[in-house]
Amino acid sequence: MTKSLPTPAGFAAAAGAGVVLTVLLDMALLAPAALAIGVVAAFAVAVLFVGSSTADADSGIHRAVVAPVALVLAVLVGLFTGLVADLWLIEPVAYAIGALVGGTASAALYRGLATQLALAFAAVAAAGALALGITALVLYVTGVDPLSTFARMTDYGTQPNSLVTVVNTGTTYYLSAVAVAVGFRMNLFNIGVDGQYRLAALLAAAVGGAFVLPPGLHQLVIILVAVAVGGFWAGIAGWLKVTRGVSEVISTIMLNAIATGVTAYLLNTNRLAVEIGTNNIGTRPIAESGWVPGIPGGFMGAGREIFGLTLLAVAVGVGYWWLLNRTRFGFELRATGQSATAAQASGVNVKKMVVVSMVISGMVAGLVGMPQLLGASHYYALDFPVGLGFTGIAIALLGRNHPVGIAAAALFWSFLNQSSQILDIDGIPKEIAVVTQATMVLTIVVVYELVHRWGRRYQQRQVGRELGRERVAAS
Amino acid sequence: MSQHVEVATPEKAPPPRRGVLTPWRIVSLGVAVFVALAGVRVITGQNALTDSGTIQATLAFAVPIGMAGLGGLWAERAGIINIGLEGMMVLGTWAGAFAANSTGNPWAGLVAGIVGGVLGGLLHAVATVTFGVDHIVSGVAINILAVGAMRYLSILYFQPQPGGGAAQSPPLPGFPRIGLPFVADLLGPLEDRHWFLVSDVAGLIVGLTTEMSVVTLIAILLVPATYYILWRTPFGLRLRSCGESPEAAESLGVSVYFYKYVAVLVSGGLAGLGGVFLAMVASSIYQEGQTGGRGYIGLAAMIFGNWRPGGLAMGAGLFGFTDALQVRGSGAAVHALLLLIAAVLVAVAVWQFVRGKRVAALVSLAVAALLVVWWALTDTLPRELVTYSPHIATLLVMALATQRLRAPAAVGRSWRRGGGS
Repeated sequence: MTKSLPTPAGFAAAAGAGVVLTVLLDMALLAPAALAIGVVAAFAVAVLFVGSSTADADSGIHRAVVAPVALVLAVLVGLFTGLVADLWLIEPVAYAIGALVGGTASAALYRGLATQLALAFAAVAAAGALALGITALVLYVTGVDPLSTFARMTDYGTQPNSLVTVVNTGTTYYLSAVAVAVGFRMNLFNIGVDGQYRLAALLAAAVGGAFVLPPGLHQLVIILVAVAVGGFWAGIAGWLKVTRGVSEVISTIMLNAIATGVTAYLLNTNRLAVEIGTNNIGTRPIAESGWVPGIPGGFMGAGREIFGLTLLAVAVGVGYWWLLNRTRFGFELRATGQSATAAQASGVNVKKMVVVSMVISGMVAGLVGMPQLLGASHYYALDFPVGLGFTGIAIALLGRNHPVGIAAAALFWSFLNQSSQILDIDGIPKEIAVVTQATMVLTIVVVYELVHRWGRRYQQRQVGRELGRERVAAS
Repeated sequence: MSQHVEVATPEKAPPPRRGVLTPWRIVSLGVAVFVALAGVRVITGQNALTDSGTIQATLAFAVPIGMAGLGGLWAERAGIINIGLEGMMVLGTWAGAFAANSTGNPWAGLVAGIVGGVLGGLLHAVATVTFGVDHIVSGVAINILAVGAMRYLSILYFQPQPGGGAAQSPPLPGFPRIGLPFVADLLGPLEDRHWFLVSDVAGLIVGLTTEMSVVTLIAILLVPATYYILWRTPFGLRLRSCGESPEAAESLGVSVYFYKYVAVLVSGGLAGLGGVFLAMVASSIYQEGQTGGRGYIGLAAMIFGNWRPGGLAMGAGLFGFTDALQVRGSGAAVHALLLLIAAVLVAVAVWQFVRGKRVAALVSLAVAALLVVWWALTDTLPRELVTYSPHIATLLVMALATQRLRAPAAVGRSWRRGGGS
C-alpha cells in the first residue's frame, strides 16, 4: 500500500477528515449516520496515507478480512464514543468528538490490527450473527415476529436504568468468568465456582453481620473472609487432583452439591440465620459501616446506582491480565496449559501449579457474591442469586479467557438478560434470551475452532512462502 | 484446550491377578456387604435398610443414574467425554413428557425421549467429532442450552394446559408394571418377622420381583446388552479401539468418525431414556430441574465402575441406595449406615494388616472407631446433609479409588482424520 505521509501526519489527516465530514453531514443527516460516513472517510484516508505495518499487509487475507474488520471496529468505536458523549454535551460537539476518536481509531486499527486478532473478531461476529439467526428462527417457528421482538429488546435494554442493571449484573458475571478463566488458562475446569461463591458469600455475610467494625476495615474483613472461603473450597478439588488423581470436573461438581447442602444446613434459624421479612430467612444484616456505597447513575440519566465494587471487578481484570502476562507465575501457568509434560520437563512444578491456580480461581470466585452482598442486599438470604458460576463458564468461553473479551461477553450476556425482561409483558417467554446465549456459546466455540485451524494453516503457508523466498534469494 | 492436565500420578504396572475383579470376587463381596447390612439392621432396628420398599426405591433411583452412566460409558469408550449427559437427560424428560402428553401413549413418550437425547448427542458429536471442539466445553454449552430451551418450550406448550406451567407438565400417563405372581404373598410375612438375614433376603426378592415398571426392566437389561455389544462383538471392539488409539484403529481401516458418532448418539439416547424414566416412572409429571445433577453422578458411577458395565451398575446401585434411604428412612436410616461403613473399614484394616501395611490398617481402624463413636452419640444426621450423602459418597469413593482405575487411553482427545490434532 502507498505510504506517502509520515505516520503522525497520516493519523491527523484521517481524524481531521472524519471530523470535518461529520460536522458537515450533521446538518443534512441524522448525527449517527453522519458520524458513520465520517469514520468511513477517515478510514479511506488512513488506507491511502497511513498504510499498514503488519507483516502480511499485501496478502489477500488482509484485504478480505483484516481491513473490513478494522473498518467496522472503527465505526463502532466512533458511534459508542459519540453516544456516550451525547449524554453530557450537545449533539454537534458530541458527534464531532465521536468522529475524532473513530477517525484516529480507524488509522490505528488499519495500521496495527494483527491478523489473528482480526480473525478472532470476525469469528465472534459470525457466531453472533449465526446465534441471532437461530434465535430468529426459533421465534418465527413458535409464532412470534423476530424483528419486532429484537426491536423491543433493544429499546428496553438501552434505557438508562436498564443500562445500570446491565453494568451491575455484568460486574458479577465478570468476576465469575475471570474465576473460571484462571483455571481454563491451564486446562483446569473449575466447574465449582458456583458452590465456591455461594459458600463464600454466606460465611462472609455471617461474619460481617456478627461484628461492627470501623468502615474500611469492616468491608475488608468481609471480603477477606469470602476470598479465603472460596479459595479453601476450590483448594479441596486441587488437592484431591494432585494427591488422589481425582478429575477436577467431577470433584468440583460434587463440591457444588455439597456446598448447597452446607449452606442449607447453616442457613437455619438455629444456626446462622434470622427471620428476614415474611417467608425469608437470612444472615444477620451487615451494619452500615460494612456497606460499599454505589456510584450514582445520574450522569447517564438513571435513577439507580452502579455497584461501587464494579471498580473491584476492574481491578481484578487488570490483576488477571498482569498476573498472566507479566509474572513468572503467569508464564508457567500458560505453559502448563499448553503442555503439562513440556512444562514439567522444563522445571515447572505442575502439581504446585494445579493447587495454586485452583486456589486463585476459588479466591476470585469468593468475590462473585460481594457486589450484590455489600452493594445491595447486605445479607445472605434464600433469595441470593444462584447459578452465577455456570454463567461464568459460558462467559469465559465467549470471551476466550481474555480479560477484555470477558468484559465484553459479560456485558453482552447481562444486556440480553435485562432486555429480555420486557418480553414477559408481551407474552413472549423471556427464556428466548437463554436460547440465544447458549447458541452463541456453542457457535462461538465451533467457529473459533475453525478459525483457529484455518489461521494456523495460513501461518504455515506464510512461513513456507518466506522460506521459499529466502531460498530463491540465496541461490 | 484440547487436553486435560494429567497430573502424573506414578502408575506402576499392576501386579498380575491381585485386585482383578473376577465375577466370583464381585459376587462374594456383594454377599458379604449384604450380610453386614443385615447385621446392621438387626443392631440398629432400622428396618428401612433392607425392606422391599427400599429395594424398589433403590432401583428407581439407580436406573436414571445407571442410564446416564451407561451413556457416559459408550461415549468414553469411543474417546469422547460426555459431560453434556445432564443436558441430554433434560431433553429426554421434556421430549418424553411432550410426546406422552400430546398422544396420551407412554410408549410414544419413551421413543420421543430417546430421540430427544439422541438429538443432544448429535449436537455434541458434531461439535466434538467434526469440529474438534473441546469435549467439556461442548458438554457445558449443551447443558446450558437444554435447560433454557426446555423452559422456553414449556412456557409455550405446557403452560396453557390445565395442570401445566412454566416449570412443569400436566400429569403424564404411566407405563405398565409387571411382577411375578404370589411372591409377595409368600415372602411378605417372612419379611415382616425381621429375622436376621432371612427377612432381608425375603425383602430383596420381593423388591426385585413385584411391581416393577417395564422401563426399569428394559434399563436393567441394557447393562448386559452393553457388555455384550461392546466386549463380545467386532463392532464393539472397533468402537473401543477408537477410544484407546484412534490412529491404530484408522490404520486398520476402521472409520473412526463413524464409530465416534454412533457412540455419542447412543450415549445421548441412553441419557434420554434415563430422562424419560425420571419424568414418567419415578414421577408422573415433567418438572424443571428434575434431573438434579444425575447426569454428573452417572459419570461418577461410571468412573467408580472403572469404565465397565458391571462396575457401573454397582456404582449406580450404591448411589441409588443412599438416595433411597434418605427418602424412605430419612436421617435415622442413613445414620445406621455409619455403622456399616465402620464395619467395612474394620474389614479393610484387617486386610491391610495381613498385607503388612500397619499404618494404613491403624488409620482405617481409627476412622472406624470415630464413626462408631459418632454413631453412638447421635440419633440422626442433619436432613440438609443427608440429602447430599450420594455426592459426599462419590467424592470419598473417587478419592479412595481413582488411582486403581484406568480410563480409555485416548479419552478427551480431539482427533482428526489423517493425523495431527
